[in-house]
Amino acid sequence: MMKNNLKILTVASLVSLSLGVSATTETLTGTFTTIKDVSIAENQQLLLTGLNLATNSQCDLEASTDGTGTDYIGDAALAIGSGNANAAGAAITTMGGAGCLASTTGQFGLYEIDGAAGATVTVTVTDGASTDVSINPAGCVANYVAGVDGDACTIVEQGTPAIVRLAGATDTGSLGEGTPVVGKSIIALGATAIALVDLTAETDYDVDFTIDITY
Amino acid sequence: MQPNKTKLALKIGAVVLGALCASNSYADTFTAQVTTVDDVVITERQALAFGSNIFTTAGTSCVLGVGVGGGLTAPGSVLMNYTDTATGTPGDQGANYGLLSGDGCVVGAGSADGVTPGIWDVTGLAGGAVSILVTEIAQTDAAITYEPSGCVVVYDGTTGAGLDDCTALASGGVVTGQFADATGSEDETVDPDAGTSTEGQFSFAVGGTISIVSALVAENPYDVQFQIDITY
Repeated sequence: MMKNNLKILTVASLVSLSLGVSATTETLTGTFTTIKDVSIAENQQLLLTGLNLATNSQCDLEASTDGTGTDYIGDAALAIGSGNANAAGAAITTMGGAGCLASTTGQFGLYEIDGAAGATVTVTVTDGASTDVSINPAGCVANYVAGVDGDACTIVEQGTPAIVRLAGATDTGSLGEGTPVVGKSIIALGATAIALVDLTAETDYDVDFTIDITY
Repeated sequence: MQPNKTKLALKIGAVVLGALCASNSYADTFTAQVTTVDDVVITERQALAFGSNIFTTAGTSCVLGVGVGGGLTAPGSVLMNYTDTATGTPGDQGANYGLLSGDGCVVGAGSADGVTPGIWDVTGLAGGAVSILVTEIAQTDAAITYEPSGCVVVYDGTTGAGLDDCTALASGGVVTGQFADATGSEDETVDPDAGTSTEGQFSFAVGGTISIVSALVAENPYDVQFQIDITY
């Protein structure tokens, strides 16, 4: 009887141990870093010149996305390595349009995006208007392909957002035409301006428009 | 001398009485041996990292894709050291494994962007059954929450038409599995996917969801933590 009792007690004890073992409890850790805020700065103001005074007069400063076009601002100004060394076109300051004095000289707007290296951003341009003048900006945004060459300018205007990659650490141009800057991209915009009312001679009209950058 | 004889007789009687009592009950000490189970050791094979891809905006969230075997975010049988006899190629790595998604981060960011799912190898008693539980815990920085999710390899202990797999690992859900049995006795031999078990080991992979409760500071490092309980 004593031996039997002993066996029963031993079995009960083992069962209890098996159910009760908590092998391990650990706290495991992962990491993340918040992305750099994206911002945009104006490097060069968009200037349209020679707009006639009559209502509905129109002036165009065309900006091309074609690397070989006369309205292309050039790889150097866009800081891209296309691999083609596309120079600035001959007509990047040329004004045109019905109601515009063509002999005047315009100026592309240049805007610099600053964000996380190699990150993809969406650039959206929204037209602007004052009570006197409306403008419809259009142009392109430098898009970087990781590594050597292959960068290009992606068209952007209202209704056509540009999805581009900011320059990363490995971006370079084999021909040295433009120098990518890590975490940055350049937007080059021309525009069409239209007189909404009869304008006053020799007067500057400021018109606001919006560029949105989102990751 | 006579008195002495009397004393001797009495002593003998006492000894006999004592011996008679001993034959009626017997007690001795027996020893049982109890061997404790092997220590469970968790070793990090790959760090859990979301990279520098998380936005700062409150109310957004970001998912690092790690899911069950055969799914779009499956880590795959090679990485997780198991074979699988199911039809097709359920042991393949999913196309979205290890990629970020959601409105709180750079969608599609992956290994090239510093994103790596966490992978841990657990060693213990070969063939021993275990319960695995991951639990969401409060984070050091209350501006975020982190819900772990991923998959854990469950071996079936046979080389036959069983089904080793990477089973869903979700916060609060207990998974019953086992440490891989002896080498050669675990890996499937019928139409196996690539992958090889290691005796006394299983692995789990974790991605999960970061939710940004209140605005974060840009370009700032944060930790995310979770608890794991592994019980025989």
